[in-house]
Formats: sequence, C-alpha cells, structure tokens
Amino acid sequence: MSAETHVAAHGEEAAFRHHHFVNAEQQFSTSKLGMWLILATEILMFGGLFVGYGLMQSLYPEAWVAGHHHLDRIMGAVNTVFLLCSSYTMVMAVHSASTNQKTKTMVNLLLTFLFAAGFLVVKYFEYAHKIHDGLLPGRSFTYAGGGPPQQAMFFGFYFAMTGLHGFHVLVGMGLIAWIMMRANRGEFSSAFYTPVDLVGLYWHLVDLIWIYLFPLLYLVS
Amino acid sequence: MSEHVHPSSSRIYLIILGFLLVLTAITVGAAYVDFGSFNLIIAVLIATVKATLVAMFFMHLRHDPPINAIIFVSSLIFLGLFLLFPLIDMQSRDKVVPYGLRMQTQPAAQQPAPAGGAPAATPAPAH
Repeated sequence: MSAETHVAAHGEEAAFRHHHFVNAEQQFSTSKLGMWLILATEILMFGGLFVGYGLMQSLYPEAWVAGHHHLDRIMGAVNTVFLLCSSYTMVMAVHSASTNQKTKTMVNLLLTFLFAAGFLVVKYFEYAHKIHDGLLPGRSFTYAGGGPPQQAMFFGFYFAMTGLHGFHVLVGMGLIAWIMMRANRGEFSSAFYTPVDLVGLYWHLVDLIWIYLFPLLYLVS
Repeated sequence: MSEHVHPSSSRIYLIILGFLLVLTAITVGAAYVDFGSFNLIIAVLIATVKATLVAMFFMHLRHDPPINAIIFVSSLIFLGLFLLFPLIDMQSRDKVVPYGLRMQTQPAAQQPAPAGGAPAATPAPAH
C-alpha cells in the first residue's frame, strides 16, 4: 500500500503495536483499510434498499409524491442539521485525540453523542405520528385519508430505510460511549488514536447515508 | 507521526460544516420550487456534493492512501450497476414482449383497492 518507509523509532510504540506490523504507521493504515472494507459492505447493504426505492419510485411516482407529503420536512431538516453538526464534532474529536487534547476530545465526543440522541428523539416523534395516523407498511397501512394505494409501499421503504439507519445511529452512540470511556482512561495520544478515527469513519458513513435519505424521502415531489 | 496524518488544520472542518449547512438550506429551498421531474435530480446532485465533502474532508480521503478511496468508489460503482440493470429491465421489458402478450404497466392505478388494505404490489409478472 503506502510506500512510506518511516521506520518510527518511538520507544512507546511497542505498547500498542502488534508484532506483525512493520511500524505504527502501517498498523494505522491497515486498520483504516479494514474499516473502509466494512463501510463498503454497509453501503451495499443500504444499497439494496436504495435500489428497491429507485425501482418502485419509477413505477409509482404519484404514490411517492402522495406519501412524502405525510413527512415533516422541518423535522427532517432539523435531523439533517443534527447529523451534520455531529459529524463536525466527531472529526474535531479525532483531531483533538491526534493532538493530545484529552478534554477537547471528551467534550467533542459528548457533543456527538448528544446530537445523535437529539436525532433519535426527533425520529421518535416522527414515528409516533406515523403510527398514530396508520401510515405503516403493507397490510398495516390503515390511513383513512385516501391517495394511491401504493403509498403503503412508500412507507415500507420509509420505515425500512430510516429504521436501519436509526439502528446504525444507536450502534454509533454505543461506540461513541465506549470511545469516551477509553479516552477518559487516557488511552489515546498522538501516537495512537486508531479507535477514535475508525469510530469517526463509521459515524461519517451514518451521516452520509442520511444525506441521501433526507432528499429521497422528504423532498420528492 | 501525527504531523503528516492530519495536515489540515481544524479550521477547514468548520468551513466544510458551513458549506454542508448552506447546501442543506439550498436543497430544502429548492424542494419548494417546482422544477417538475428535475426536483429529484437536483436534490440527489446536491446530496452528492455534500457526500463528497464529507468523504474528502471529514473522512480524510483527501490525505489517505488512494486504496481507501478506491474501495469506497468501487462500492458506489457496483451500487450503480445494481440499480442500472433492473432499471433497464423494467423500463424496456414491455418493448420486447410481442404485441398481444403485453403486460399491464399500471395494474392497480385504476382498479379498486383489494380488500384487506393496500397491496404492496410487485410489478406484474411477465406473461
């Protein structure tokens, strides 16, 4: 891979470097490579839903337009802002960890966690509203307001996509909490902050998927 | 080792966040204007610009070894193929079926909804 031949002569490096890596640099880029492979599988997993969405949207565009009118654009936009800001605080946490600023790392991770929680709270209100109105997938669709019957399928995609995404947000919160505990124990420094970086990559992917979900679900017309 | 791993100073992240928020405002604003079928295309294009910013700066692809970007982009290319072939099939299936065996393209639109709620209708099987 990278042809860098920095033979880092750090004495403290031995504390975290596994023996089968040439140096800490190689260990770091190997971990990142592995994380990117995981992210590629995540993209393909969500990809199945995106493809299904695209095909059905091309068959029943009028049902998609009718369905999206039941979604609250403002709530969707607020959640977009929450996730974008959380991505920013996450990258700041990685930056702080890589420059030995423990307090800043902790504060930024906490902010990321809170933005994620805010996202789920908004999502809870949206789901509660949909369930109350009977805007549910397939046979559970009991909405009395009329419109194209394929709206039931639109809400199938809505709940499958936002549900899988919401689950990823929940997992991300767990990971962030775990990283905070480790940061609090002083495990990270400029020489070693790989876990912060990898959780960061995961978190940005969650943000990335929402960047597409928001216009596709809330802003069709 | 830290000097060359994250060469970008932290200010660039704030600038990128600013761009992302502005683009979000533009997408929401554009959704209130009727461009016909272009609305979806515009929204997806803006989302792609946002995704590129996140990947390049927040995910550090700009400074990473190229292999990470290759993995990322190839997963997107395969996703594109995944979408492309069923789409070609669905849009053109009707044209290659001999006249008289042509399937109904919009089966449920005019018919009354069947009992037991709305069907999650799959496309009518080619007959």
